[in-house]
Amino acid sequence: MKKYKEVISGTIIFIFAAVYFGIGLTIPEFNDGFISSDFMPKLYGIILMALSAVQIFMGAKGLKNEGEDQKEGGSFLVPEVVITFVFLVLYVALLNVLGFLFSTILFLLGMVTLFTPKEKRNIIKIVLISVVFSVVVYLIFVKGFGLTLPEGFFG
Amino acid sequence: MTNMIIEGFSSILLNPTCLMWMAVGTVVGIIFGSIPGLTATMAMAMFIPVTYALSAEEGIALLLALYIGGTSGGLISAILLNIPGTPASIATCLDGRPMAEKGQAGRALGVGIVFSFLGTIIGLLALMLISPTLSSIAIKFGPHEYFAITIFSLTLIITLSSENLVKGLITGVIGLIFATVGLAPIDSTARYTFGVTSLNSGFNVLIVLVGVYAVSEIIGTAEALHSGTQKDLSVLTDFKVKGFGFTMKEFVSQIWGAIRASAIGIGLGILPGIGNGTSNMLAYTVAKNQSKNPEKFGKGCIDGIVASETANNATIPGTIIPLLTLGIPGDSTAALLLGALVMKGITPGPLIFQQNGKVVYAIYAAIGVSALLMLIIEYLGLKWFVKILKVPTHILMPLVFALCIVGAFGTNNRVFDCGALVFFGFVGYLLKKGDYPLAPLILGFVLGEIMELNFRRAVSYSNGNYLEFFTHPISCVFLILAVFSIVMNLRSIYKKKKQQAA
Repeated sequence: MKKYKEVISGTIIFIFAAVYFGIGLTIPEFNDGFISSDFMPKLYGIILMALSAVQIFMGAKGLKNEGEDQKEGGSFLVPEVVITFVFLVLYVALLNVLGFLFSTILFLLGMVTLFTPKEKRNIIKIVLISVVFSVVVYLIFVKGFGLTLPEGFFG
Repeated sequence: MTNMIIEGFSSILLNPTCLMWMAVGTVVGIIFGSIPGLTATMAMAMFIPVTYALSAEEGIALLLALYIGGTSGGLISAILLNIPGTPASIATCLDGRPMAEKGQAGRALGVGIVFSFLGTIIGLLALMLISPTLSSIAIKFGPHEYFAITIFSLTLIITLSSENLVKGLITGVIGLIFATVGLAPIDSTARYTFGVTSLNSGFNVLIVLVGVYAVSEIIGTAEALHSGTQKDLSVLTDFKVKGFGFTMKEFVSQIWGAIRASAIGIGLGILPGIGNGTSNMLAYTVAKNQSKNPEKFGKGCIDGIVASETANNATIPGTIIPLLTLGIPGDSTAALLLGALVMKGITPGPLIFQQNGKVVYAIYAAIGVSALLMLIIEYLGLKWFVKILKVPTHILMPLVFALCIVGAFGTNNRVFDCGALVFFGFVGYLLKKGDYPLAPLILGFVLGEIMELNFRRAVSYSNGNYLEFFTHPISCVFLILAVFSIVMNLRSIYKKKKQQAA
């Protein structure tokens, strides 16, 4: 997996560029003789396809000269990363339901617990940090600065 | 004339209420600037109602304090968290973070603060001395000239991606592509909106910036946790910062760089639509290209921070030049200032010096005082800012994300933007995993719409005659500069490759 990184990333970008270009073909064109709104997207799509093709080619060339210059790619989508993403998505989804204050408390509880190494986990401390921080941010921005934040059903 | 100068200056300097409001403005500005997603513009919009209760001079002074504090505040999170607080500090990360990793966070902050101050002051001098001349040049800029200057700015991508040219270009084009989402310029054709109304206005630059930088940084923390490679900066960092952390000799050696960066900042400030989001990166790349040891850049040298922070603050007086002399607001922040002025019955334009001379001199004084307040307040705060690094990353990063959500929601009061934030976080994470540089993406995104709009305008102005890009002198010069910049950069990359091979 690691050594194919260059080729894989190039391929993903190529597919993205091709889809982007494809959708670009559906943008209506006006025949006023000048540049229409479909021109730039099509141009960008073509340039990106060309660039990613070069990337794939260079990546494949790099595979042949193996051993040299293979940077440590590290792990990809390890469990912690996936859970973090799930937390981020859930947090945003909850904003409209629970409002900023409660969603933030829940998010921080989950996130800080996940991030803290097991031997250092201190539930009381985590709860305290999550609640105090959320309340302080809420008070400063909503009450102090008069900013609007999602209120949810409790608002 | 002399009367007006004295009256204008004294309305700021001898007015305790005004100085107090400016101190409040600077502190709030710094807070907003340092939190990713919150900007000086937002802070100013919030304080507009406060200005109703103040006199014209006091109100403008408060807004300027917010603007200057907010622009400088972005350097704090750029250096300490590797997340630019505002688009104005993107290039500050490039050298600020490596310095922090070497334990020199205090020094990096000190350099950033002092040169933010210096940039503002040099910009102020330009505003006071040469603003009518500069404005008369800027007014000659039509779509051809704008297109040429954006093309020139885009060639910077090459310099920003010297490690791997193809990857830098790829992220630059991806940035341009994200800028095409929404209603197209000129004819408002919906592009890539997939029928979603929220996408009609496209993505906000703050959402892209914070998503790509902050969220990918947070995910990086999760990964470091998995592999147990978390860096503990609190062990390395020298928390006893003396003064600003650099010597007089170092300061003197940076003066030329600061003047060059200021000139770039002022120039881009004057041109409407191109603000400090671009000027910091342009100044950084110019500094790198002209440096005798360009390989130092990106590894934690103060030259990079000097370029970025001087330029972004010099842009502020730069945007005020066309605002005062022509009544043209260059960006949303300048538009807020214009609104505040008009509300007080002051019409910016060529006649402002005769009609409202007092206000003009009050603005000069307010910029100077704000710069000084920023220097003092950030100097006093320096020791405390660095302490952020004592908070373990596993607690700090979730807190930072919660603040990013505040910022993302604040841009338009929509949860949609918070979702977009996570989306760009995922994009940023993928790109980072593939070793793709992130700065070109932001540059492409910022310049994409300006370029397309002016390209299309220019082509219809000249009835489809593409040669006009070369017959307009300013446009022609910038296009030649663009070609020159590409050739020079490719040459230096080629040389480097050859050296490595040998």
